Amino acid sequence: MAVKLVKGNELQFGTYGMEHINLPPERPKFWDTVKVAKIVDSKTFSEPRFGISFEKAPPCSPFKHRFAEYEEVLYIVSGGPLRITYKGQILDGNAGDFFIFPEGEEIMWEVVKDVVYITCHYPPVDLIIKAREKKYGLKK
Amino acid sequence: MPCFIVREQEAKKLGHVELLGKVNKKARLSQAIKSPISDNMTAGYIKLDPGYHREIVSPLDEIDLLLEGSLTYAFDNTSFTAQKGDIVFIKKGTKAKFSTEEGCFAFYVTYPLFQETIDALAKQSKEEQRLSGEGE
Repeated sequence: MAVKLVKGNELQFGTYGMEHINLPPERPKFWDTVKVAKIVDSKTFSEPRFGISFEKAPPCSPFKHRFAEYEEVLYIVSGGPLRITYKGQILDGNAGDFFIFPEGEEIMWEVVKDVVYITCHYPPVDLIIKAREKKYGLKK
Repeated sequence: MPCFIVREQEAKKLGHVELLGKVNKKARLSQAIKSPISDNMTAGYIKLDPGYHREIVSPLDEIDLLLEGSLTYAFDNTSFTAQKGDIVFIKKGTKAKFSTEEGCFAFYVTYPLFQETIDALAKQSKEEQRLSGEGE
């Protein structure tokens, strides 16, 4: 489809869709509590380009996170702060703020209060999932 | 490039954009995330004043999240109006009409980079004009 409308009140939330992957046990359980509505993935396009997800995240304690296989632009729609600690610097993001996380960068991630955000990532999330399937293998 | 935060106040500094030598005075945008901060995506805010209308072949993939007002998209003999909270995806190469009676304010993101894409289009257009002139 050339132009696609997704009504804000009809978003369908689920998970990141990685339950079938044998992810390392140290992966924070927080990621299983985030509600994810995938708006655009590689299937939306004739060729893989970028991906968009609408996400709702509950508060969590700080933990280490690395943007291993992708670059991400994160736009905070409402709530927060989303507290990112990067190289000792605390960056509190609130509604209307933008973050950019280059591929390979490591941060501390903390949701201080419930936050709603849009993530725009390159490559699309389904290609990130494929990369993790290859890296970690599938659950038996 | 390192991780980076762009505050709302900074991201809302809007300006007009020249597209193929034309400036639409009813459209302003910011490029809060752009090269060299990102190698792949441009993101920011866009504000269209009441009465804005334009037909364009989209030179890149674009996502809009309507934050205020409404925006009507017309393409392939169909149309819809996005309201606050709606998300619209426009595929590269799509010929569509954009119009808003009341005006709108939106978050947008493009792939690939916005400025580099329109600069390349402008360069291509000038080259085509030059070649066209040589052929006459």
